[in-house]
Amino acid sequence: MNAVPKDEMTPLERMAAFAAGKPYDRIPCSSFSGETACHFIGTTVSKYRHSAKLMARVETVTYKMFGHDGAGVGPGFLALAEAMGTELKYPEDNIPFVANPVLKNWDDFDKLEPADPHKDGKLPIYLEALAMIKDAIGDEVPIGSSVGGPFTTAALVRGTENFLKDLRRNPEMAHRLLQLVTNTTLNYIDAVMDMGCSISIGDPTASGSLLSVKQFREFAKPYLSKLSDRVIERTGKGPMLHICGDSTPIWSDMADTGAPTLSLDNVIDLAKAKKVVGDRVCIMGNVKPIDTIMKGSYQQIEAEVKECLRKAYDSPKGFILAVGCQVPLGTTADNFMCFMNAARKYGRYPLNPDNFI
Amino acid sequence: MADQQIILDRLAEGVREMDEDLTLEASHEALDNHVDALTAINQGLVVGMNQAGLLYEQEEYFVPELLLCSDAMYTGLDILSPHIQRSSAEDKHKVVIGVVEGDTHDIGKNLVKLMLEVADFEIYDLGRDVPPADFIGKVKEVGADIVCLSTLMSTTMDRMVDVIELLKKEGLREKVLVMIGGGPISQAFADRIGADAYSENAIAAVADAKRLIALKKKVAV
Repeated sequence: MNAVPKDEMTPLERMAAFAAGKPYDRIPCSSFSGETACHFIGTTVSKYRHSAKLMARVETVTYKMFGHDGAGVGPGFLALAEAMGTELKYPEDNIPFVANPVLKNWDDFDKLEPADPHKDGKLPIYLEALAMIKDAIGDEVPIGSSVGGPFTTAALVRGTENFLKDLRRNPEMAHRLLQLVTNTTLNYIDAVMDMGCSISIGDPTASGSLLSVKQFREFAKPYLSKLSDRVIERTGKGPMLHICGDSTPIWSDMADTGAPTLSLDNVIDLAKAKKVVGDRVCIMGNVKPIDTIMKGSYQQIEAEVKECLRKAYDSPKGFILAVGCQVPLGTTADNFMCFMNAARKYGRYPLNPDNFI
Repeated sequence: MADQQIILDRLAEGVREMDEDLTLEASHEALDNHVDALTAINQGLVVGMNQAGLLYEQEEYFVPELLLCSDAMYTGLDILSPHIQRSSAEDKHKVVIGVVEGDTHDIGKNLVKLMLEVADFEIYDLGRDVPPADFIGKVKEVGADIVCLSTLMSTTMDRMVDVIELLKKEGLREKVLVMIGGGPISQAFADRIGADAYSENAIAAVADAKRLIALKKKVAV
């Protein structure tokens, strides 16, 4: 295969041009490497999750390695729930999980308060890491922080199974909890905005694989909108939104929340997304993180990058090449690099279908 | 016996309509009216759960509804099970089920467990965050026909490989069918790791389990 063309713009320049509809050098690209990349600097997930310095180091090192179009760290849903009192278990080298939800009994509801991002749980670590990353590479690349959608975070505060039952058994309390979680998240968002960084939202439990459209509209959408409204109020532009699994029936609702970009899971057909919601939002996706990025050959990675481009390159509000969901631990740096280089090879501006047939 | 059918219908309705109180009441009615406990379960509760499964397939019900049907089902089982006259455990197919090590998401596993129970499989539930050796130990102990592995996280998918490798090492792989499922799992992944089936949801898991057992019997003949 021919040589990989070098990037001619910094991610900040590229994303600004992309947003303004001006020429850029190659398709914007996000690899969602996140904590998976902690192995590239020889640390473990648990050490990473407890240290602003390690988080910052992972982000700066991986940015220098791959040159993707965004860097940053965020509490996601786990650390937001933790900041409200849910107990997490941190395996030495795997993703933490909920050991003990704080609100197993509704009687304890009045003891809960919105978390303070400068004090509670590990939120201060994330803010500190963001500051370090911004300081190190913020002049080249957009720095952002990812937060959980209120539905997912609330499920971890209450215990997911209980919370799903509450939607029918105790909808009034479910809403009160969602509002409390939303307030926590808004506090964190404000702190991130104060630093001049951006926000993205992931709401995996609000997935069509678990909820009906009606339930999404009643329990997830209004609170996602509240987060979006705050981000728009502060920056003029809404946050990127990712929902795992099959989100097909709720694309319009996701766009209604004010998110300008929808990041779609790899189970989604990008061609269909382009047709249904591409005239309202920028579409982002959706190379398979496991079958392709982690376990695939270089040929498979290139073939799937081309397939995504083929399906969505001409989406009316734009297309960002990305992985469909988080890439698992154990994925090699070579495979990440192959993904980025495929974007450089086949996603040259102006995007030309002849290059990705 | 008209009375009996009315009670059975109420049991089914209680489960299907997520109504624990109705299920409780109908279960006591069944006992008071000398309805055979096994009949009450199979032609009452189980019918209701299968109707709920159908509603799920038709996208009338989603996971929150299935969880509540499941609660109602267990409420009825708690009352009726102690009154089952004879043990029919001998001829049931045995399933060992659990969430693999490192993962505690067990909603999907619990739904699969319930639907398999409803379909008359004998279930050995190892819970969540289960080390590979525990699966193998239980398979050996009970002489399981099927082992079901579940995970929601991509980071723990490969623990399924560990279980399969350990089954091979212990010479058990040919004896037991392996079914896998969960968010990040795909048919491609099942093929790659040599699982016998990937089931997309709890309803599909029942069909897969029955199909695999039938196939195995056919091969054995």
